[in-house]
Amino acid sequence: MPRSYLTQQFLNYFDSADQRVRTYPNTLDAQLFNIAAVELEDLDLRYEREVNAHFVSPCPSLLDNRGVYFGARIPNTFVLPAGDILNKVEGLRNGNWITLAPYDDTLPTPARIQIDTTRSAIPFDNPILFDLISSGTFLTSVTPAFTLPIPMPLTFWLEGLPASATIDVFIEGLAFPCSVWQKNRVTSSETISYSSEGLQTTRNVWSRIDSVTVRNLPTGSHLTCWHAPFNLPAVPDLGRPYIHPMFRDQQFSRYWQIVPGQLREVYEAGPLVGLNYVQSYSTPEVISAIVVEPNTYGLLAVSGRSLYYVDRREPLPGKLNMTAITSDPVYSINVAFDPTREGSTRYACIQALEHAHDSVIRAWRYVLQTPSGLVFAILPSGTFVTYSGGAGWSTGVPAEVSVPLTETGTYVFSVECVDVNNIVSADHFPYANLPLNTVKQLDISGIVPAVAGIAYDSRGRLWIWTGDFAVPVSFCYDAYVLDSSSMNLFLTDAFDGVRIS
Amino acid sequence: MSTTPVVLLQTGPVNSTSYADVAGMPFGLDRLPGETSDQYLDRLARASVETRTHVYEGLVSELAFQLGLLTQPGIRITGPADTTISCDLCGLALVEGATSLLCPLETLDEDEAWSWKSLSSIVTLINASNLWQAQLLVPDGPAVQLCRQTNAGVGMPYECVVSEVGLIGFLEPSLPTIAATPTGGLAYQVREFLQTINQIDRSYWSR
Repeated sequence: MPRSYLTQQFLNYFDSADQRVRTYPNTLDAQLFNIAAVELEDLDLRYEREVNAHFVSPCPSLLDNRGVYFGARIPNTFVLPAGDILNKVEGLRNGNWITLAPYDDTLPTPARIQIDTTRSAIPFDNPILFDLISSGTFLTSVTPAFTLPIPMPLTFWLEGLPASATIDVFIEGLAFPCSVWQKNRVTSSETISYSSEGLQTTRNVWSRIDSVTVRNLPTGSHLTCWHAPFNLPAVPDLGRPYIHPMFRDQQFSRYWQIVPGQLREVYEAGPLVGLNYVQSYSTPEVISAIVVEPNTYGLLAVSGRSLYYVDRREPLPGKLNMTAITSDPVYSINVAFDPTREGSTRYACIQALEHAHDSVIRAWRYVLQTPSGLVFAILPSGTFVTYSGGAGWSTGVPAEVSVPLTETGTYVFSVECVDVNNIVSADHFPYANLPLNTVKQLDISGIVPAVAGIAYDSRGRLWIWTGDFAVPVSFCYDAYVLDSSSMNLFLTDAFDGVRIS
Repeated sequence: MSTTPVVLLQTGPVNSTSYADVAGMPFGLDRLPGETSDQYLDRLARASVETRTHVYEGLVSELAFQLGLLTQPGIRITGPADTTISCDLCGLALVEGATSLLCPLETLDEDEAWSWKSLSSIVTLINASNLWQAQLLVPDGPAVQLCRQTNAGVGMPYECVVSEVGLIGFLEPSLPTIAATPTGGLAYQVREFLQTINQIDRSYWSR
């Protein structure tokens, strides 16, 4: 099961003094709330789609196989299995029967990728419209007079803001689509207002930019504008905001970032703070570009040869039953990513939290179980020693320790305490050192020679930027939807034959 | 429950009811069979910025939108700023001071049928003038696609609009000039139009 971003919102209703429930992500309380939060997040996704469907510009278009299926009639004599779930659906292509999957519109997993022949490849050498480091001038006019090769909203990224400020970006140009009759064309304008760092996009989709004027950009602040969102410093995932345990009723913008060997979820914490860590996923190879799939839970990560279709929701760790406690421990244990350790190997920072009985503690130790099942005691220096009854015990207050995580999977960290009455108490923390949550890997070496970026346009159509060209691509799903009431099967692709059992 | 595979009869492409169909409700434009959501939303977005009333541009646009066809800039003409451009069935006319160029859209064949010139031949003719330059913005096709238009109020450079669906009315000012043949008859296509109208509307039979 995935972890919903809303789970923390539930947990934040606990008092801040109740640190274990409010802060620890995998307690039984968190697991219970997560079940409801996942359902609510699903409803939230569908609600957003319904609202956006009332407007042409943000209307979800890539869902539901873009609105066109290939029909197949199930004979009335065929008795559907219980629950109307077909055992097997197969499509015949080039003499081979291919097993088809049920189509899931929250995570439409592609089976193949192809050049989209309904669009043309477009010469494209630079996605950046301008890159401005402010010298402190109140009014800076950037007049690119630029025709966009692919109609898109403009994307702005602001960083290096010394403090909160009100910054306006005024854009004039020709919105897309414009009338084909020149006499009916009207110039449009739009203002973007910034009060913090991060990303903003224009509401308008533009076909031509006549001028951009920036007001009140503080000295040294860095504002960059993309006319196509290839290779942004961080890719926005604004539909799933981040909620911090410390801040009740406050949501932060979530982003995805490529770092060496990892994909990271980060959140925009405000001026002077920048992007803070949320979660990380190790990647099987060097990732060169990512994009969040609109209106679904999908994310696309591209290397030179492969495209990874990823479920971007964080999976819960395994061994969750370990978090159950029947009595208050002397110390509880919290484990978090250690942001001070750079490099491809991630480190976990172990912290112990004082509970009511800490004054009677006699000895303590940290214990670690790796995903492969090896168990170690951890010395205060961070050194691992083989686990045994007497290994690794220390006296005094449990100190913070940082340990490297060399395997992916669920680690179980524990703090064991012995009090003066020789009663042993323990608290356990399952910690997931996550790999990329890949649902499907597709070979793209035959489609594009190189990948410099990947982006969806304003109509939800996918483009891969090679550095010289923007190449239109689309997915084939090899999936089906069953309408049991009309006994029809709707296929996402055309087949030479279809059979069910 | 069936245990052996059952081969199904396929029924071809079908449209589902998608979010795009919800977005299209206020527009009075239905999604065409096989038209994908993104193509349909493109059509709706274009329809939202064009005139769709009874005026000439509006009728051309509405016909194109209903049929899923394109109306788009077809020939870009650059030249002196005071150039006047007008286009109707007689041809594409460019005037600058005492200099003028008329590019006919069609010629009359031996069988008195209009033979449409190609858009590329009109571009070639304009470029041969040494005063104006033209660039074809769309795939080549018959010049009947050029809409009735003028650059009045727009100036230069000017993008001549072409449409995949045409609109010729009997009140078209230029029709009498090009419909008449040297022998005193009517061009073949006009005779066909009249024949069709007579068949559809029998009120003309008495005349």
